[in-house]
Amino acid sequence: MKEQLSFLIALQKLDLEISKVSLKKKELPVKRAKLDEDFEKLKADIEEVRKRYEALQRSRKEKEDRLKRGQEAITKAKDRLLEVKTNKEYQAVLKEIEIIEAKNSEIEDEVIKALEDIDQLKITLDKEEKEFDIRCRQYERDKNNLEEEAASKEAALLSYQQRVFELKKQIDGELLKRYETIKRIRNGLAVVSVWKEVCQGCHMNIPPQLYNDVQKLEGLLSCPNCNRIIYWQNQNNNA
Amino acid sequence: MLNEHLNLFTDGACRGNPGRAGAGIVLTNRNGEVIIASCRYLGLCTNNIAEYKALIIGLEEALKRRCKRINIYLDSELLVKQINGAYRVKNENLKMLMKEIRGLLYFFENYSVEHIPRNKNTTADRLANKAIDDVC
Repeated sequence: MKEQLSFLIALQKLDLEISKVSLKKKELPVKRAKLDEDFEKLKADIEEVRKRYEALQRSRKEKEDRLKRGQEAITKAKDRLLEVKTNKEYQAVLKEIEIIEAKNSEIEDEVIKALEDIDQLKITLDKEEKEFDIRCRQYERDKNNLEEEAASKEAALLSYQQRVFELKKQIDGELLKRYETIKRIRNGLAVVSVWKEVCQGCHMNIPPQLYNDVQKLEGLLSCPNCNRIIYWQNQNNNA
Repeated sequence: MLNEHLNLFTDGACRGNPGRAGAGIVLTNRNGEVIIASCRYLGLCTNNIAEYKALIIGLEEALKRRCKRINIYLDSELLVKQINGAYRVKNENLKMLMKEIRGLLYFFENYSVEHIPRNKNTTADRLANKAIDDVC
């Protein structure tokens, strides 16, 4: 009986370990999804800054082209000044040059503003690119760690299951059936210790006589309250 | 004389615009050896003023070393284009600083101003940020 009880205690420990490892294993895909989600958000953020930077560059290029065309128009108008024959025509071309110059000045302001914005955004972009590189490496490390953790949990589970299989072969059939039934009903906990007349499964007191019997190891006894299989364990020694 | 021809890298950093600013300058000789790498806290100003002031400090350092020919490398495209005359300087504060820059450039027999990407100007950038960090 003592041997059967020790098998049951070992089986319970293994079952608890299996349930703990299984729970942790189940959390891993959730952690991975969160990791991927955070990384995708980071990627989207930096992509948005890159796009803003490219848009600014395009806008600047377009303004510079406009300015170039304006400057060419002034050159052409100045050439025409040499060809005009009347004072009226001369005044008209001068007015035209004045208008183009005013327009060019406005465009130049826009180009300068665009260049300032580009300079500022480039500082932000460079900083964020650097940060992104660090986060990329961190993401790869975290991903690998999660994969390694999943593999190690899987290996642990297999090993526990193998030991459970071996252990079950040594336990009496009826007893095993009783264990499985209690385990199913009592939230995975079928074998518990008793200390100072308290069942460690339901934390209720057991009768003094039963406590004496448990200590003397008189048969496979159950807690009268939760029906779990009980055994005596001196917790002073454990501490 | 090795110091007659120098390369100057400058950068102005600003925490906010306007904000606390710093200047970083690096002078190297033609062999690429660093003659001076220094930084200076500029107080509260705009990023453009910081860029201009950093260049002024760099030019003064070069002149102190009797430099006659200088190649200037800046990561601010706007400043490069303004020095080269592609764009006018419209801001009154910057106009005064540009006058100072032109006055300093006058003392060189020859100079060139080139735009370089920020990653080629990391030492000056680091020094400019150091100037702010040291004070704040």
